[in-house]
Amino acid sequence: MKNSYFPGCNLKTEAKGFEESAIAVSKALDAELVEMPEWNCCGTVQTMTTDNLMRRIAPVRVLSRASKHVKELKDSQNQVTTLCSMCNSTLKIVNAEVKENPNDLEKINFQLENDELIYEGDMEVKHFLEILRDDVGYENIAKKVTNPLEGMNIASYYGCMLLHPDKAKIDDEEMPTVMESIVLSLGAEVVDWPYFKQCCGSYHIVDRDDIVNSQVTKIIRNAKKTGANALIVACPLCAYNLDNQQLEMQGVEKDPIPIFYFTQLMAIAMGLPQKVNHFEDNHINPEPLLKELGLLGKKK
Amino acid sequence: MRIGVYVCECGKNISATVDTEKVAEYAKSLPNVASSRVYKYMCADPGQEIIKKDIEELKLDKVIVAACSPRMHEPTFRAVIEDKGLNPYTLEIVNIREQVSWVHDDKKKGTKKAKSLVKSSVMRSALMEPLDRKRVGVTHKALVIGAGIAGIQAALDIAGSGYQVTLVEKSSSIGGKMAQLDKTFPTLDCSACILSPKMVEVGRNPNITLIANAEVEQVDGYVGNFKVKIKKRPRYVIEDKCTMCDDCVPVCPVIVHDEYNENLSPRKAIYIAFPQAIPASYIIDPDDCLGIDPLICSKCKDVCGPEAIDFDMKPEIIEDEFGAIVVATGFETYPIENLGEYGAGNIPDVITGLEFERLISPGGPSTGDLRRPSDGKLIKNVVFIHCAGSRDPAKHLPYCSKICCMYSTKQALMFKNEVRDGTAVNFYIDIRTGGKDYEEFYQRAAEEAKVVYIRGKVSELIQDGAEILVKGVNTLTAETVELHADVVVLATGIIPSQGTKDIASVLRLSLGINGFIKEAHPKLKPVETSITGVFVAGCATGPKDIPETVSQAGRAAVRACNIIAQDEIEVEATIAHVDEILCRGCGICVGTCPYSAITLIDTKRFGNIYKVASVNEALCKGCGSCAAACLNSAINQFGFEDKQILAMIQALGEE
Repeated sequence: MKNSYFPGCNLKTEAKGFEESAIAVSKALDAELVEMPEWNCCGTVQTMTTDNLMRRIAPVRVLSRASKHVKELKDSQNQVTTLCSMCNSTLKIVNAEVKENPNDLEKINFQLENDELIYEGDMEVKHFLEILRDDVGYENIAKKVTNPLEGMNIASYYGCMLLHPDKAKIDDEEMPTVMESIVLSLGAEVVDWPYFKQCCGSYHIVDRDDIVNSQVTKIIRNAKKTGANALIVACPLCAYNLDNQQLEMQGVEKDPIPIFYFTQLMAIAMGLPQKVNHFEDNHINPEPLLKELGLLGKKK
Repeated sequence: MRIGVYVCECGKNISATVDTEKVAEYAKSLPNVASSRVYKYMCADPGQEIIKKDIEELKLDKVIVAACSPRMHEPTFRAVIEDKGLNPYTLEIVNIREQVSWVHDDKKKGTKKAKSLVKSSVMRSALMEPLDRKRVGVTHKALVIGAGIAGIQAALDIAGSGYQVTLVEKSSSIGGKMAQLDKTFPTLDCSACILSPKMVEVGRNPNITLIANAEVEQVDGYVGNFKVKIKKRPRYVIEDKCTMCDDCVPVCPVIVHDEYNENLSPRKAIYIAFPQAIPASYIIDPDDCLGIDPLICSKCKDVCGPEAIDFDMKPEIIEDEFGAIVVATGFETYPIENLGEYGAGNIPDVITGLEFERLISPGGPSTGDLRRPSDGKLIKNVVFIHCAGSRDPAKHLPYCSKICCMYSTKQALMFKNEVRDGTAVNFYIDIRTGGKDYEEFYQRAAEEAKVVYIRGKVSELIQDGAEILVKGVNTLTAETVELHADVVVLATGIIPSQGTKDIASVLRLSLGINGFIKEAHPKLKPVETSITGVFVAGCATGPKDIPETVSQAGRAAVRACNIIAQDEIEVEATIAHVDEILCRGCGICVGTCPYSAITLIDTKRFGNIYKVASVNEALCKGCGSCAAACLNSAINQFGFEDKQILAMIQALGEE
């Protein structure tokens, strides 16, 4: 099976390892992510202004192009997959709203005329986590594991965007299980911790890094307190904040713990070539931990 | 035929939007109308006199009143015309207040609509026929279902009036939720001390038959004549023989959770719910016991001196007849498992108000020492969260559960009295102290006992080491608040109990949008239900505190006595009537009737047996569903016959 894949801005710059590992994993699981052509920015926070339809043109354009792409892919469902919580949230909310308000969709489609595009409201937006849960299945992930992640105690970090608001959530907002289930199928231990949806500080990293620092401190301290030796995330921005800010505040917090995008760990467990992970881009090098646990270089 | 039309101004309620003079003038032009008048308040004595005088002087045989809804004054005007010798069912009411003046603002259009409605009623009035009220006999005995404080009070009040009453309770003892409380607000009376005299009186009163460990399975019949099946589960202990010596408990090998202590302590399979339980007898829980079989285990039977244990007891079906029923099936609290933001029951030291009540009770799991459930540490800091699951239409209950502000305040005050150097913090949305001495009680807690009140909601609870991190907001200072607590108490709201839902389906009672039993009128008929002869008391209709429950139980008892004190009662005359010649026995009406008042019976015609529909006159409420559904127009409803309705439609269509 093939999935139309919308990368978004981060995956091509800061988070190359996330994209490459996700694509490698998706191929191994027969749910290949195929990058859609001519994609543009999802619109991010701009789309949250509900009174201005102009702000929704970008996401609707993405949806209509994805719809076209799906038809070309053939062996595919009417869904577009993202790797970023923000893209997932933006596209899902806008998709739901234009489906509810056909008049708005008509106005936006009018603006898309120059691109010879029209969106018919026929797409669903999925985070790759949803594909793994609903289309692939945890048992099929477990079957591909050749290098079980023994010794890893993993705290799954959802952040805020994956679980809120109602229109964009991918799992139960109070008791999500999708990331934990994936961790279990990779042979690692799940850490039960309460800070799984504490906000990482998000875009405040641009102008108020003190807010981000205080959030990250709480999250990392709690993760360590509950026995985690690594964190997995599903969003490039969460990853950046948790990863980079641990180094920034090293004076306070010694022994930083590595932050993985969930597909990076999957790639290790499934024995895929390590170059897809681009660990050189991680701010906290995860290799010492992986080596200590004998998880690197055991198999190729 | 001489019809009198009387148009009411209702002060300005009607006359502001309807030109009443014009309506009366118009009515005079209609066929059969002998008189047409306007008066300021038709329902007042002078208004009634106008009608009476006209009936006498103008020899009227029908009367039409154009005023408010028939639900308000139909009985008033029926009495007026009956007084002057007319049949009360020849009265016709035109609703020009609720259906015209109150819902419109254009006087011209309002007047026009009022005229059409009056015209249609004049057409119907000419076709109305006198009807007879039927009378049925009454069983002088009442049934009360549920024996919490509401049911106990209702049973005592009925018994106190000299009538026989049967009190049915689902669990092994009467007392309900009130028996679990340690103290009551706003006086801090010991709950058991004020409840147990009433419980003892129930056991002692010769007019009360108590059937505990039993449930009402089936109710047939109608007001004055309810036929009830009660299923009594076996107790396996003979009540009269049990001396409550407690010898059986130490030998019982089965240990389970004690429901009376909200599962915070253990009990055995043979047990007594609590020391003051009525009936005063132990009971074996068959689900917990190793098998109610002496071959498997008979340790309790072996040690029982008075030989009170009987493994051969079987379930019993008790059938009886009652004139009236009081439903007092109470409430449950909103399940903590639904509150994901507060740990969904996975944080051991996040407890419910009822659990706290047991913890602080001297008869509770820690014999009154305030020790928390997780590690038994003495509690020093406690946070109370009001409205846990209440006033939250997006995720939980939309309504206010009314008692939580007060019970949290009570618990905080009890805690401060117990632990002088402890802290008690209340997070609230609003403090609602709408009861006698409630505001003073709250002031006492806040000012004298230094209970802390923070206006704002708690967003989440997090297990932080051995303590709980409470994250909330103070909406008065617009600051976020984070503090640590040993125990967090959730003031969970009130929801209808399973028993309330079950009995509502047995009795076919209407339920409101939140699942509570619906009253016949929210203000003026608060204990009456959609079924005549069935009354309701306590939290089965919605959240209530103890004083309100007790008063409501008293009214339910009086209303039940109103019925069982009669030898005969009148039933509605505007009921359905089957024309047996037209009926072809298809049975569509049987399924349509919401009150199960129609059955198919055999009838002999031309020497053959045919099935035809038959209406039970006491059960029929006159809703008209069957008359509308009948494919052969074989069912007519007295007072609303097809020819009358068609005449009205024709009159309205002529505009």
